[in-house]
Amino acid sequence: MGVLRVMSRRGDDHVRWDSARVSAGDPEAVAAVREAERIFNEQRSRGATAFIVEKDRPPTRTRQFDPTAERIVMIPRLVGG
Amino acid sequence: MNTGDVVTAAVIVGIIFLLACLMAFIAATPPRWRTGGRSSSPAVDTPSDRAEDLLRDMLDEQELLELRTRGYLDIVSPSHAQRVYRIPRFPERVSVLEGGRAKWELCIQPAKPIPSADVVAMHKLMIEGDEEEYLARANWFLPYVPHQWDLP
Repeated sequence: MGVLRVMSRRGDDHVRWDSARVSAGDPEAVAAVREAERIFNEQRSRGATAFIVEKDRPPTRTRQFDPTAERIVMIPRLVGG
Repeated sequence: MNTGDVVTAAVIVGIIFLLACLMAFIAATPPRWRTGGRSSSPAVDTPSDRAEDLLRDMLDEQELLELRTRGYLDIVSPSHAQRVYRIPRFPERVSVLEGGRAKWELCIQPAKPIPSADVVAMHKLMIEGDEEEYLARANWFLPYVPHQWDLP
């Protein structure tokens, strides 16, 4: 399973997809991963930063959507206070 | 019934009408997107709860305990020896400690408001995932040291 979590004022919104079903060409799973990629690109265009987060490993910044990632977390654009 | 009573009644009816419209609008407006559900926990349903849920997912038991008991989370710098970032539980400046002493304070925040638990997760992700950009975006301040006359 993969999940894209996007921080927002609503807490975090997320989209899940089943990588195994995506590989098998399941239309519903393919639609879910495409929706996740669309949201990823939309958020990136607004200045959001994305990280691939895996258990017991430091987060890795990513600039491209990775459908094989277990978890992608996006944070809003940052500004100095 | 005099004119004043009529005006008061009209204002009250107007307010009730506006509240009814607002409630109907909220009920009829679907979330922008929620494919696959909004949370891994069925009990989570407010923005703050969802942010806490994400933070629990990202921190280990020791980090969660530190945050609860001390009110801050220490993150060791991945690239600067002896440096620790002290992230407060609620949005304030992040302290930069070197050799155990406060050297700087950083002010960096999301451009749009997010729950305080998400802010903690945001600092952790940036420090561990892209420390140099984090430092480049932050505004740096000398730490506040109370003067003699500030002390009780």
